[in-house]
Amino acid sequence: MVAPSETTRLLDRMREGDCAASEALIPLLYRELRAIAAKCLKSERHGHTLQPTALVHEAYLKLVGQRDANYRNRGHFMAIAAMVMRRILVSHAEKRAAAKRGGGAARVPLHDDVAVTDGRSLDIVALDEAMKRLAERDKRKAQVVEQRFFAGIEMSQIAENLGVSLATVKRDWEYARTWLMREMQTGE
Amino acid sequence: MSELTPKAQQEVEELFERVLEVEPDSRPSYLESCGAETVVRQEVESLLEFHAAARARMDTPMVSPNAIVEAVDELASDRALHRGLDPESVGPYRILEMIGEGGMGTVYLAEQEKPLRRRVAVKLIKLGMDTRGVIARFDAERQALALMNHPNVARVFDAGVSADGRPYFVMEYVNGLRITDYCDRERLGIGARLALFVRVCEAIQHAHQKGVIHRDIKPSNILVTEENGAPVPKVIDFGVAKATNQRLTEQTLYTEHGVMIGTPEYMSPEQAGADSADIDTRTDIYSLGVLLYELLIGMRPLETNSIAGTSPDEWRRLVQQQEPPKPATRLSTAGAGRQDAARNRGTDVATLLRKIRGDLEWITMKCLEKQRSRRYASVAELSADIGRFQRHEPVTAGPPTTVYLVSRFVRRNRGFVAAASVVFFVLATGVVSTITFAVAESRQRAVAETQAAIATAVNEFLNEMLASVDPRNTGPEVTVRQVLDAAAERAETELADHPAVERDVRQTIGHSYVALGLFGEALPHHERGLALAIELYSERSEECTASMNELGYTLKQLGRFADAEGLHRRALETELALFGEMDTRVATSMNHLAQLLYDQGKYDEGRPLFERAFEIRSELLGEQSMDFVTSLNNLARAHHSDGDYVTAETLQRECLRLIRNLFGDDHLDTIGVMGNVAFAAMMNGNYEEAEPMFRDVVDLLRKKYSQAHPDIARALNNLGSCVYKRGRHEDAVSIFREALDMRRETLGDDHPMVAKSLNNLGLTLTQLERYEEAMELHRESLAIRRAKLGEEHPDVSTSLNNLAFILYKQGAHEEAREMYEQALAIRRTALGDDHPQVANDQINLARCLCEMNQLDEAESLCRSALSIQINKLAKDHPHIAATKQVLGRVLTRAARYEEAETWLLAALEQVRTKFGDQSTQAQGVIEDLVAQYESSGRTALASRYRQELEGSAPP
Repeated sequence: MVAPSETTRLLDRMREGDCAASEALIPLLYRELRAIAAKCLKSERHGHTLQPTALVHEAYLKLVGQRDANYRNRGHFMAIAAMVMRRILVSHAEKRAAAKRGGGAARVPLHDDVAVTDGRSLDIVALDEAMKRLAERDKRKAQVVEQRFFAGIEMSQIAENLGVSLATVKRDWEYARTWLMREMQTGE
Repeated sequence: MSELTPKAQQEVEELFERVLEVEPDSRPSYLESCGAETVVRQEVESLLEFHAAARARMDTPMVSPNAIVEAVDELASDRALHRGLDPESVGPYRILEMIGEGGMGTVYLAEQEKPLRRRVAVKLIKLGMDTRGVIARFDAERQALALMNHPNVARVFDAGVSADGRPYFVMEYVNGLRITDYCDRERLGIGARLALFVRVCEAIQHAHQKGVIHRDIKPSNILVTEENGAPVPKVIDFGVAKATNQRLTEQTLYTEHGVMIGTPEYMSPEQAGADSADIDTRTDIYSLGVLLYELLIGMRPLETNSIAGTSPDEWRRLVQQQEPPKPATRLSTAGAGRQDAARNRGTDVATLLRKIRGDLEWITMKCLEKQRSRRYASVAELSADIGRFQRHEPVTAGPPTTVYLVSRFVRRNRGFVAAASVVFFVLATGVVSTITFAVAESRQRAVAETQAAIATAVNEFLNEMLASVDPRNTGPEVTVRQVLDAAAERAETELADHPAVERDVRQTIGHSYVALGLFGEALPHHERGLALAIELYSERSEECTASMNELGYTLKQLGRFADAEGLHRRALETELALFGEMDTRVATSMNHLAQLLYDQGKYDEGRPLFERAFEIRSELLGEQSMDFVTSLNNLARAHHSDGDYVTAETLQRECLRLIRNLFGDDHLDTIGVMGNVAFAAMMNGNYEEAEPMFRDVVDLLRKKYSQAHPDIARALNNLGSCVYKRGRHEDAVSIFREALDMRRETLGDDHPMVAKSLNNLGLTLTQLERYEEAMELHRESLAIRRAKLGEEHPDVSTSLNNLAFILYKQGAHEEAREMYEQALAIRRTALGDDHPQVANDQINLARCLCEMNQLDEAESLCRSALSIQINKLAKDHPHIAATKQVLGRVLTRAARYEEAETWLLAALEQVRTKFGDQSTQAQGVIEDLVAQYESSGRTALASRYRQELEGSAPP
């Protein structure tokens, strides 16, 4: 795929405890996540709106909070991006749910709106809760779901990221999403 | 659910994987026979119930597949590093976050700290630009950009070079959606889209009038925000395209990886051409056409499936040669896309097709003509045509047959095609040769439509050229005059056989002379224009009434009030007959007439017209229009002239409320109206209230401009007047001085506005009896006016009057008289013998002569002034009272007491009615009356009036 480059070198330096490298990478990731938000949260229709600016700002804060984390490699980096993406999407879903309940009284006026692609009537907040329970039992499976479902990463790439075989990822994915579905529909 | 042991869990997962490979129907039997522990089997059975649901609902990831991977790889690529990290600051601007990215570079939300704290958008151009060239080109346009002031134009504040040598631009931060995205999101119908589009046109037209061509109009440069729930389009990036010299090249369209990032689809054929210096306002019209096309049907005229694979050369050929399909044609052949397009417009395909066929298509296609001469000549024409469509009137755009003739003419006339940024007299050549060609062409063709079309083109062209020079800021522009004089001369000789062309050209020339304040020069053109309009279109035509109003306004400026009034009245009557009363044109004519009546002091006649114009606009346009606010402002000024300052203030406050709604607190027009409110308050004697308001206006303007600006100087000037009226003459001196310095700084030492400031300061110092300093200032003012406005300008006369007044005060009557006489002679030459201003000068001279006891001459001046005033002004005009007062004074000196008493009492009655018993005007007259009674020995009356004086004197 992509030849080892500056980013990889930065990641390496970061692993070696070079704080400057981490400082350099986070804004880059921030910028790219912003672009993803704009790309992926497609303008669907009225109703489901969120602000990419706020969203990415949030992502950024989360990343900054993680600055001591050990970014090992591209895969790890991607995993973090997926995690951030999940948080972004869940928090958006929470806000929307709150707004629907009328609890979002103090909503910031929305400019720069982008609607989320959400044809699936899936309760993202419940999914997130279920994923937390899954992670307690099996962290890797939760990561697979996070990377696959929330971040759209290919199976083979997930395998690379997590350092396991493709078959394992496929098995984890099949099992985990079924388990999660049951958890959501029968739990609480 | 009970917890499984790790071993059982392991078995569950393995069994689950295996059972999924079995056909769903066979799964139960498979599980029965697999020999697993019950607890394991039950768990797998339980899971299987949810497998289908999981597959259905979780198969599609939340974000596009691989977006994150690409993003991370993007980071890994050289491109990301080439772009570099987001800087913490650019120049003096602190970067807050990235808000956009395009072919040119990156846009950041940033914060400016000094001189004021505000959020701005900073556009940092990517590496590889010729930075020095960019900045030089931006600087060349900076002044024009600064002149732009429009609610739909995002202001460009600054440009500079970042620490790493990249050029950047700083502009108003607009938090909005691209216009196309906004329209789709809101599912706006065609009507609402057109309404937004027209506002975009207004913004572009405004820029064109200031001499700025955008050059890069596309949806991402037109953002829509919502203010009070209403969409407000804002055009951003003015000046950027020109400064960065964007052209259709590999560099602008492709990244290093060969990915197309800019869109060439809004680029006009001439921009795509090899010589992109050859750009004029019609380039923007082309881009507006592409935008309109897209707003109508959601597709662009030359959209191909693979722009990304198109090389600049291929694209150039495409945009220069391929005729785009008409919007309806494209829509009806668009396949699935057309349903989306219709849905995004809140309608169905058939209805949408019906709506855009015909007029809207013609309008769009006229913008998209490859030959720019076949496009609209100006954005104003484009939006006028859309206006016609909205009002169901016939549009000027049409099937190409009529326009074709015009296009042929221009194809042979390259001189017509000139960039707006070229020096003026070069353009003059272009204009004149255009006229010549127009004549030649029309001789051949002799088609009336051709003539009209040419004339309109010429007209608009001239208008744009001339409007880009703001005479208030630059003083009479010599080069513009040259253009006009040349055009006037050629019109005389070459257009005689082509009345339709001549009429338009005359009107334009006349209008432009008026804009420069050269009313005498304008006059013959407007006269000829009107005569031609009558001949061509009959007296009962819109063209004719427009000419009448133009001529009337010119005559008014020349003091020929009666002639002006006749014309405005005829225009109004004709329009009433043609259009009925409920018509915006009628309202405009009413305003003309009313303004004229007010200038003559005929307030009672003027007021109902202002009121009616106000009602018409209110009915037709509603409160949310600038015309309505203008009318309200007129009404306020009417009441002001009536001396009803209380109502004036109330109305001005209402204006302020409305304009705040229209444009927000921060808009220049809003600040302007705030100034009006303050002014009205001052006139009401509410100095305590007015002064802080004036100070607010000054502060707001300082923030708005963040540097010295003529508008700030004007506001300071008003503040100075207020402080002056509060009796703080010393403070007023320092404020006037600041205004003066600012004008010197911004306009140059020899600008007429500097002369005005010198004059104000001089008057204040005269009040402080610092005559020597005052004299110095008035002399400088006079010198500027003589040099800049000419020996015979009325302002020269004003300066002479003020100088003479000081001499008069110092008792140098002989010198004062000489100067007053000079002033009077100039005024006569400039404005004619019977102008009310001439009467004012006569009175000044008469006062002086009275002191010198040259009473016969003084008396005859007074009587002459009085006859002018009675002829020209309303009976109760305060100037008439002033004349009567001076006449009374002169007659007192001449010991003609009886006559004197008659005049003085008449004056007293008049000022009492007008200004009240306690007014300074009344007291002035009473002083003269006391003098008269004392001189004539009627001591009882003298002391009675003296008591009145003392009684009313402030403690």
